[in-house]
Amino acid sequence: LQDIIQAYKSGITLQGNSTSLGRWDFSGSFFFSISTITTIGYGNLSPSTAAGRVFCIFFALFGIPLNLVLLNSIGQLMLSGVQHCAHHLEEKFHWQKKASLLIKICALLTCLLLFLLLPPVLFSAKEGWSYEEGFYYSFITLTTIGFGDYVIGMNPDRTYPGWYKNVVSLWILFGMAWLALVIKFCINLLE
Amino acid sequence: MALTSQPLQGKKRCKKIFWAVFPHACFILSLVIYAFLGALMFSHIEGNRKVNSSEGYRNFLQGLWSISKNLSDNMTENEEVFKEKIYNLLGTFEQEWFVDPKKIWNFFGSLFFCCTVFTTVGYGNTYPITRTGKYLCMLYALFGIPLMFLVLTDMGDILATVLSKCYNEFRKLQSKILASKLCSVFMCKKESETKSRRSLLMKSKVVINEPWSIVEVLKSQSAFKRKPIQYRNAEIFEMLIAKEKEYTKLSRTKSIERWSSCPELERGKTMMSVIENFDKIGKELEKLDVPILLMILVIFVYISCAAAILPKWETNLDFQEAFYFCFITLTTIGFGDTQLQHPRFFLFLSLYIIIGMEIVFIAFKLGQDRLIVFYKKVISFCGEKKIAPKKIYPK
Repeated sequence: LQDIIQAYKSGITLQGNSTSLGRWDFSGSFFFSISTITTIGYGNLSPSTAAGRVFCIFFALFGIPLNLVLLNSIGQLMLSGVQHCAHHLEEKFHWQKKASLLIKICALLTCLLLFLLLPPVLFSAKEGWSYEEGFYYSFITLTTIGFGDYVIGMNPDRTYPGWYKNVVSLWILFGMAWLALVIKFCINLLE
Repeated sequence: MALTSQPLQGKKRCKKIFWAVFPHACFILSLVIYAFLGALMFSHIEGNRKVNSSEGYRNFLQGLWSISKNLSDNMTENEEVFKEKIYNLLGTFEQEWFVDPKKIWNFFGSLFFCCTVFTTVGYGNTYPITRTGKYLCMLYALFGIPLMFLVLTDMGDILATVLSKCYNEFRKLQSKILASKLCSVFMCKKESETKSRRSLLMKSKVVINEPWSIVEVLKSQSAFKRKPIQYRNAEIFEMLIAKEKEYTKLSRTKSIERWSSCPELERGKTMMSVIENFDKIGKELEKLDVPILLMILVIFVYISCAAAILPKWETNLDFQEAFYFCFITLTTIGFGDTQLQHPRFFLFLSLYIIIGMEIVFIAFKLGQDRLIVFYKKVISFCGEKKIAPKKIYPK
């Protein structure tokens, strides 16, 4: 038993009963690519062959700027959407300039709800985590820290619906764009 | 008078250097203090976790015991049954049963953990298990990540200046060699001298520049010689205008220098310049325009240096694995599949890691800009294609 524990400690994991996100089939590899180019890097799946690692390095080298460009454009899109709405509402109701600040705060709170407060509900329903664990997972994922202690879709005893992974990928994308926008605003405020 | 003014000048210079270095040192120091505070907090909270044997652990041990009890006397049958049952049982294994929190969450372990949090690397070999630990981790990340980002941007300015100066020198050398070659071929010394001086002046202004419009960026990408004459003239004109701007800027700074004779004004001026410098954080970074292949080369050389020395104390890593590990760390992906035997020594390389993240950050920024330029080219190309068929149809 001691030998098994020693082996586990040195990083050898069991290639056992795993879900589609834990094997190197298409979904698992897709999720791995996403976790690489967003620099989250869960680590539940990682390349072990030399060729795989070399490919991973070049993949990340080109994928990460691509991801940054995407996040920036999504952020700009979201920002212009909010400004559009603010403009329309101002024109309709003839409010003053202060209303635009109110609308921006409103948008911020809605996005906070959508990206940080609602997903844990989904996770607790599908993964069986508590709300706190779901919130912790969302936070660690969106800030791209990505410990890997909690990863979606890794429980072999649960069945996941088809739309689950796609919805989570979309959430990661938009959530990261929103968070980057918020951080940019905070830094602008501090200056 | 001359004798007394010299030590005064030395003092002034010391003060200048101090106030120039102070803001940068301030940022780095605040990050270090933040890391140390975090390490203390986490080692206290997670290190004092009570290792109560959880239910899962007890079930695991019970399962093991029942397997060993039910082994029959037949040896070959035993082996198969044992392997199958152990396989299923080990699927329920949880790492946290067998780790001693006091050993992992000592001061250096928690320091390593804090570094993985605010650099967003997030290996996952240590992670908070208690509830307070998780909340604290989120709070810590919320303030630590912007602080790290600030330090990175601040040091990025320094690095960008160093890089562009080196690149400048390299281009000057290149044009000198080119000019000397032209000289030997055409045997006209005066002309080539003025040419080389002009090209030197032009080329030295290439790297740090005001943000260019897309047209200028596209123009600068193609080789200087391949361009038709009218574009070259336009570029020379623009460079001359830029040179004029530089001269007017110089004269402006010269007029400020005259006030330095008055000490109170001088003190106020340094404080103002220090405060102004806080606004300029990140501006140098935006102006950087070095070829991206050069940046990628710099990254590979930088990582190879670390990958060469890392296997000296990490005996189970060879060069290829150390390279992969450094790359995954510096891009902050941080899978956590490669376990370090001595995380402590890796912490000593923290300056190396910050500079490395810096370089990778700059490279990704440049990659972003290049990608946007590429996309605009593609879209404009597609747009032109769409317009062209319309012209065929006569009215």
